[in-house]
Amino acid sequence: MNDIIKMLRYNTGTDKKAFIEFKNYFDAVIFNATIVAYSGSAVADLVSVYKNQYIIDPQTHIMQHSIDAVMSKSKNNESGSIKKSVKQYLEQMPNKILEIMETEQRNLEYTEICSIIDELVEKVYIFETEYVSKYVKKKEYDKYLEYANIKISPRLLIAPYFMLKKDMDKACRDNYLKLNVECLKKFIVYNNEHKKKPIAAQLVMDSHLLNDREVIDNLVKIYNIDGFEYIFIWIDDFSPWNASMTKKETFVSLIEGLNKIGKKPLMAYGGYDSILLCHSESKARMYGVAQSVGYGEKRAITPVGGGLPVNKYYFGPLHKRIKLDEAFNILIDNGYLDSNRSGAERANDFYRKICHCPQCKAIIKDNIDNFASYNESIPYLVKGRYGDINRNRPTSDANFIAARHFLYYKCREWEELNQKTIKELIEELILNYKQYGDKNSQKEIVEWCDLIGR
Amino acid sequence: MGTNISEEEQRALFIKQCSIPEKKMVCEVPVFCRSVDLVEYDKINNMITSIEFKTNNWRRAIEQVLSTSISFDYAEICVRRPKKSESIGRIVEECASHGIGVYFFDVENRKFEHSLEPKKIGRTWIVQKMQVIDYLEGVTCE
Repeated sequence: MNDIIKMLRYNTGTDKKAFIEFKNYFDAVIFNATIVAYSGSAVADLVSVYKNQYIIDPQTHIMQHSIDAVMSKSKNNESGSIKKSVKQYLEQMPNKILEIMETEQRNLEYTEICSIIDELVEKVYIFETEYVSKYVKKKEYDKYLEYANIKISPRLLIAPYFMLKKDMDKACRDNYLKLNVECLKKFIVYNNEHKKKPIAAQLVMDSHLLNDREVIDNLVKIYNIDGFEYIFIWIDDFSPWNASMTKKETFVSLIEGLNKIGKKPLMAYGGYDSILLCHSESKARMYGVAQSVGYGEKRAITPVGGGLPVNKYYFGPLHKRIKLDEAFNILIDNGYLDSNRSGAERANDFYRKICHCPQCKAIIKDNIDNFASYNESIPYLVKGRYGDINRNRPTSDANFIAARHFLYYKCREWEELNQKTIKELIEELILNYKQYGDKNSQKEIVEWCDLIGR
Repeated sequence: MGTNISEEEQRALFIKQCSIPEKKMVCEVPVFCRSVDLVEYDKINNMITSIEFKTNNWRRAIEQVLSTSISFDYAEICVRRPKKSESIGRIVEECASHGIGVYFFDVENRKFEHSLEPKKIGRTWIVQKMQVIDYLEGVTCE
């Protein structure tokens, strides 16, 4: 499995502990450029732990979205300012971008982006290769890294990219597609003249486009150029398991198409659906998956934000995070919470059939009732339609143990790619959904498994 | 009399008409990621009942009580009494299949009818039930 890149995305300071603990389990850590710009010092610490296995997502698509997506919320509902993290990043990019976004309070037009493409390519390259090193140099441990001859360097570099949106007409979409490839070509040339690192393109698109096979076939043709090895894929809020049959089929043909032109697809936000495709026997072959600590297996491109925090648990046999009430209902329906049997006996059953990771064992020990710790929460008031409502939110301890369990299970999913054939993994998945899933998701899983080679 | 009544008003009327001193009524009880509209706490028998209020969407009310049912001994819904008897029959049948009790609220004369008694939930998880009771011990509904 040496050609696979197992990636973890860093988002907030609360991720740091888990990042350091799991440093030997993952191959690379991905940071969004805005986070690097805003938290350079914290990022430097993590990069020094992961050494030359970091990747920076340049997020160049942010300049093409509505300005509201990057504005901070102001208390009195007047127009706010650009979020600090975004501004600090854009200060490292061509001046024109921040001028337009900050002063004129709008996104950039296609022609405006075209006019800065050379400068954009250069600045993105420099940011990805040199920005973090500046912070490492300010740290105490820099001299130790130098003594040990350990150079901080990215695992690979991502070329500037722009999103293909569903509301673009064909001409506009073709323009942005050509722009993406133009940026990629210039980035490859610049790289060949400088650090010669592995290069990745990034394909960001609305899932709606998966309804049109012609769009996808055209896209694969356009990316058939030399000079880059990897291509990150980020489809808006998409998981192939619960997509329509058409989207499932087109997604698989996208991966197969990229394989045929010699490119290695990486899922920018993916779950077990993508990990399974990293199996060497997969006919639609992926070469890596990234997700965050405890979440991020799919993600909307313009973040909706908000939402109430809830306790969730990564239910291993279903390979998805579910709310604790769903988890308890599954456990009760399958006899794990049946008090007619001893807690110890039921705990052993749980370890055999659900999860035996160090985190679950530390929580449950010899009594399955301890599973309730994953649901540890504190009540707080939320404004409802008719007044304040009490809700529960997870304690920080509950969040942390759920995240640790999630990462342990991810490690197990990766390990099993080497231990079992793809047919065995697929059959196991279908059986688990028959046992623990609802009728709708059972149907979706069988559809997916039939498609990927049951 | 006006027929427009919110779920909250419906609940407030229910508490006024159906409360008994032996049972503590607590509103908006947080259970998992939800807020249960009303919980009836029978301290003497150590039993708790969840009650979801909806004006019309009885299927949603059933969905909500079922999702938190492992935390309770009984589950009930309270919805507006439909005009058609077939609709009434459908609601009762569906609730009976799950062991859920039904209160119908007559909007015209502002009265509640307990049309179906709930059955004891066979899959209560004592750990979760005790967490709810701990919460109930600390609060009151005015």
